[in-house]
Amino acid sequence: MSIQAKLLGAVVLAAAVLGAASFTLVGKAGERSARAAAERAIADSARTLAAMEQAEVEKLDAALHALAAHPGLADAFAARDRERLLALARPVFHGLEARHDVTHWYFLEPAPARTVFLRVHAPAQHGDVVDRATLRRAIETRTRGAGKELGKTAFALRVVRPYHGRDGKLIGYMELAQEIDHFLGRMKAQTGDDYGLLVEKTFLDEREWARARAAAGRRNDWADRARTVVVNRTGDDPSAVDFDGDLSAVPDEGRLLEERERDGRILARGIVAVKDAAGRRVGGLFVVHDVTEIHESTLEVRRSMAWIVAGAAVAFAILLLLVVNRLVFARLATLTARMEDLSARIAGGDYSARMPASGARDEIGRFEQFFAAFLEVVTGLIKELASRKAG
Amino acid sequence: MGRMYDTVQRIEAIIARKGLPVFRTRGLIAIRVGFSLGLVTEETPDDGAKIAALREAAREVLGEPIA
Repeated sequence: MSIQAKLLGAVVLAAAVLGAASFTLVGKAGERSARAAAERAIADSARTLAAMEQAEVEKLDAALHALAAHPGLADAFAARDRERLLALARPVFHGLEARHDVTHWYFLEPAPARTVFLRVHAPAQHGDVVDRATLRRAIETRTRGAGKELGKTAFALRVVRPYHGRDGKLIGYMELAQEIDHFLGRMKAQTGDDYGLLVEKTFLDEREWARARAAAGRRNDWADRARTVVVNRTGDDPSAVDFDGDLSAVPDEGRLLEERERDGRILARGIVAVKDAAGRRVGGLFVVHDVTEIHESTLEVRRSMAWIVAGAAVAFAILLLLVVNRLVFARLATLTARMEDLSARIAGGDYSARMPASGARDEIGRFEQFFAAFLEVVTGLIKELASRKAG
Repeated sequence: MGRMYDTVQRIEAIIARKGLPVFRTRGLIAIRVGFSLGLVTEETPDDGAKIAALREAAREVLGEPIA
């Protein structure tokens, strides 16, 4: 094999190694981008949920302020006239329910009793003691207590405030609440991601769960998972909320669980811890983020990179061969032709033959100078011997 | 006159007739046979193998057989 062919092989091999390394690096970078995007989506979902929760809290709080200013309600509650209070509150509640997703409205006795005086949404149930973090906070701080709390079957966002009569004295507490099932649908509308809300069974009531599912005309899925139940989810993929690990171990900023392919799309799935108003980790919010475009763009970059590297390798190989040919191989060919000619002439008796100097000061030029000097010595010697023989 | 010397003379004649560069042509033949044509004299002893090699080399270099 000629040196040129060996050189070409080495260049092609180096280009292949370089191309493979570039391909791998771009692939790794793409994977990192997709992972970062998925992690961002997971963290964003936690922030979106918190922002939505805060906005709803402010809305419920504003409604509470407005209701507290209603003189009829305050008088009826102060007089502990449940019938009158309900008659006044019921039409208002229907308006709040229809326009602002309010699902619960309570009038609560002040501490230490903390019993329900009236549930406007369920007037038949009253007299039970409320032991919720939001009410405790309102009692302790004498201002608003707010947050999401887990009931027997679902989360509800609650805002509770001290309720003062027209004389300014504390007459009890008023609480508005809404179930947060619709949050996931609104988050999906905002981000395009799918969500699922999972809750540890230990915080729920199995019988109430079965009853609520039956009332909603849905299958009782309590036994589907060992530790958790799905409170709500968007999308049509039930496996999106597959998780039976320890929800208390999920970090606040969330965790990327996996990437998987479904219907030709690449989906990243993660989970964010969900805490109740008391700060307990009671569940997890699943996020399914579509990272197909990131993967496709990575693949596109990899393809482009492969073409660029291949093109660069070909151009580099051609350039290298041209340069090496001009600097080395072409001169070696000239040198070889000269040496063949000189050898023939000297062998034929022309002892005056000389190596013409190329003037080059590189490696080949130095060899030419050395060989010219050597040739001069050898031909001089032969010439001397020939003349002695002739003489 | 030896056959070896005679062959060299015939080669020299062809070179002259064809107007070929003398030293170079003689050198090419010498390199092929492995000895200098200039060292062949009338006294050089004949060697069948050398003569055959010389004729073959001359035919290749000169492009015509040696008569």
